[in-house]
Amino acid sequence: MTVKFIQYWDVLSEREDEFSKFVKKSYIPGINETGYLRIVGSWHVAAGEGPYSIMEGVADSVKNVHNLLQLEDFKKLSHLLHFLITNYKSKLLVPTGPVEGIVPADKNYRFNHHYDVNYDKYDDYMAFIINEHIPTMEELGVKMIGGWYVAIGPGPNMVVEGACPSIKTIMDAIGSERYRRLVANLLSMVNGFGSKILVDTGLLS
Amino acid sequence: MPVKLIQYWNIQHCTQSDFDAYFTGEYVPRINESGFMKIVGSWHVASGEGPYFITEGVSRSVSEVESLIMASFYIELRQRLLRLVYDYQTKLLVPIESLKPDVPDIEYGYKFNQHFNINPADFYTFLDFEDKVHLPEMKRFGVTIAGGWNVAVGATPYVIDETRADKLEVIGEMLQNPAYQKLTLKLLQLVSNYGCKILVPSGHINS
Repeated sequence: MTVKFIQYWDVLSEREDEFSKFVKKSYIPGINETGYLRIVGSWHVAAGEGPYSIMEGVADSVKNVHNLLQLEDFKKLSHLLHFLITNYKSKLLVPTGPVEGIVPADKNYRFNHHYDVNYDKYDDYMAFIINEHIPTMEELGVKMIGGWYVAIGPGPNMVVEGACPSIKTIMDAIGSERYRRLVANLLSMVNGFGSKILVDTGLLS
Repeated sequence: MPVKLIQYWNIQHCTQSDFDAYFTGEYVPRINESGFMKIVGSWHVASGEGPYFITEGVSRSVSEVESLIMASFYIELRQRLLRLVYDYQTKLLVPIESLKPDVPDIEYGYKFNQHFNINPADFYTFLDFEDKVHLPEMKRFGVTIAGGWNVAVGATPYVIDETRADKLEVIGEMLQNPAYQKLTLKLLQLVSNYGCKILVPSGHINS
């Protein structure tokens, strides 16, 4: 079962160059070499709330993430990272279905929704996601690449990820009447709704 | 200088049609008729944090907003609104002195708003950066500067830079432009609690 370990931060003032060098040369390779977690994305929040930087890692299991967190090498990397950043937080995401977690191979932009599901409407919510949300988003050009529950970390508790090859597709989607109706329906089943548009930082390339 | 009263809420799903009728048929016209404030736009948050529905009212002064919110007809209007919506919040925005706001009679286009707190130690550097770098550079990406506002009453972050674009595409092109990303990183050196929102017309007032 694929899980995600997501880290969020803001880079400290005047430390951007040092930060980029450290992340590219030490932090990402160091984590990848452990074999427990693979860093697959590094993002800026182009629209939405901060922190502004997001690092996306995938692991084969929750156990692998726990193994990583206990490694001395990771603790050292994490310690060094904290000299360069602020507002750090992390989340462990586990799949909820019905969308299978996918990591797009090509350059992409992300359009993610987050919210808390009203649990007395959970069955309606799942039916809505399968029958309306996923098909509509995909017809609007945004491929749904994951539905996740925040197992550990700050809420909201649900993250639904979309990806597409151009930001124009996201703009066309959010400006459309279909998207507006879709969100209006979604809002009848969830609380604390918000969304983020993520743009690749280029740190992985 | 104009001031803005921004109201935020989520619509109770089962009352959507009642809300639409009440909002366009009574709430907005009666506030506008009062002469204390004009509601110039209503928006959906297309990207960013909720609440999802935003209305934008413009008054000539803070005292006119005070007159409105103390008026019995407004209290009654708001009570009725609160039966149809939840997560209701308000903010009173006053313009940043150095920037004359662009407030049309009725809003148009799309909004891209950045909000943040200025780091106290960087206050004067921020003012210089905002005036000489941030806002001029934003204009180069094709958006117009609609205003710079301080939250006089309501939840922080207390600075809102408001921009407008005729097309969502302009905002999209800006967001993916590496020069915009660099500009935002520079801004982030001077501010905290940064976030931004893309607003699209809700269709009730402006379209």
